Amino acid sequence: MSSQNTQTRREFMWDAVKTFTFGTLTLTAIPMLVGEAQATDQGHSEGEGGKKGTILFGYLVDTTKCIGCGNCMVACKRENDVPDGEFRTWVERYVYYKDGRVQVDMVTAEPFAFAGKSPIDPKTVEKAFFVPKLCNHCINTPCIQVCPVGASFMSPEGVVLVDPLQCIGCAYCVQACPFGTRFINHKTNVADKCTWCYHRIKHGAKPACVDACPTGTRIFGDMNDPESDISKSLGENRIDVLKSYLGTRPKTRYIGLTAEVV
Amino acid sequence: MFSKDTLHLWVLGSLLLLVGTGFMTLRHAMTPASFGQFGHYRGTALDDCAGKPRTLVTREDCTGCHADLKHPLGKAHLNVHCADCHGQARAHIAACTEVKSKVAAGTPIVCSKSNLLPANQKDICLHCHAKVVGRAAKHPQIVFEEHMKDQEPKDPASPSVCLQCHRAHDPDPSNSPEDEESPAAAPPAAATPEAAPAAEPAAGAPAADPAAAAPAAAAPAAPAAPEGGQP
Repeated sequence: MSSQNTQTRREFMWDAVKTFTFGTLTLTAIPMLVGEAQATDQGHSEGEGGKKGTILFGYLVDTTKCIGCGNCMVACKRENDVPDGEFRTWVERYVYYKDGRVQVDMVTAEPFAFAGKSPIDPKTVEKAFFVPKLCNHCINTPCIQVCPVGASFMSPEGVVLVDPLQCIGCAYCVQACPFGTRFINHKTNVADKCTWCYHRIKHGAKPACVDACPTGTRIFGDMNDPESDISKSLGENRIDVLKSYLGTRPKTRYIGLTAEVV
Repeated sequence: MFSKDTLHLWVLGSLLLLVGTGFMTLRHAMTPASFGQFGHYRGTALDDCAGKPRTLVTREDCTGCHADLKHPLGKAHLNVHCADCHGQARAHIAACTEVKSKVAAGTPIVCSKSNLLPANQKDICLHCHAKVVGRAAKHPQIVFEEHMKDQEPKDPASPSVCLQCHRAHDPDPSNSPEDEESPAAAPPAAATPEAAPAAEPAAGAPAADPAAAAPAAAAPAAPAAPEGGQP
């Protein structure tokens, strides 16, 4: 019996078979799980660019040119069917008063720019400028990391996208984004965000906001192509990103930011 | 074969195996086939995102027919989106596409007249050119009332008062429209048999084809206004 100190040969063989079977199963399971994790990491790091022959989309906002007309916001809403009260891109105005206050408000685009807003007396203003905001399409994305179902991902071209079929609307990503660019679309009840108009750029067109901008504030293109508009502009100007201290490495870059712009 | 004690372990192990197998089977069934193809996401989602329809009317949609404008775009308005002033002319494009599909390629056509000129034209101009705190000093801006003080428009009350001195396509005052009629006063150049919508062929396609225009009368018609190079 098994309670005896000495095993019979039959018992020993039976134990050996059991040990071998379970051991093999365990050991084969580990590499499978590790392999899956590695595939995931590759997926997240895709789009970091530098590889020749690949596309890496980038976006540059020249805040010195923006006139706050809001045509970009209207175009984005039309193109992407964004519900009222929610924005994939918006334009902020930073007003520096002579008494040291800094005030931030948002452009209302319809029926026309600044309709219904009480005008600011220019004599009290030291300087003021507009800052268009949109998804930063970070290289180290906080939003993709927190998605529990694999609905947020980065395309091979570096565009951060949401898969509406996978998304469960938990809004972790909305909270994770330090730039406030994600929201729960109250029509579809899933996470929504700027896609750089992926359905346009994949077919050679520009994002709707870039097409609609009358002043050339918004520049879009392939950063891996040295002849593209954005590569040239990135090389010619002093470039900043929003909240660089967070280390998310945004691919939406800016010209003409101040320290107060976050 | 089993003692009373080891039997418990075997039952427990079997249960775990059953639950584990069930979980893995369910997981496999519920995970899309293309999940993990490129990374930790559904691979076909890329095509889904790329395949969404484009709804915005962009410059390319207009220049396909209106390549030659009566008034070419000046430097200042070179980047201004056609639809920013003329509106999202989906009905116009749909009607013209229908007319075009019924005639031989290259035949000049007359489309149904969607009103592509804004009624509140002054507001369209002021949308970008009203003086607003935050706009760069080099961007031309006016306070409308002050600007009108030293101007002499023919009809100051008109909603298209700006166009009496500025060409919308090339707004530099040195390129003023001079004695050209204002768009509201321009006579309809061609009338469709139904006569309701006034129609003017696009610049560069001057010949009217009433037979081709007839089907377009069914398309949404707006108050008569000329189209093409104006404004």
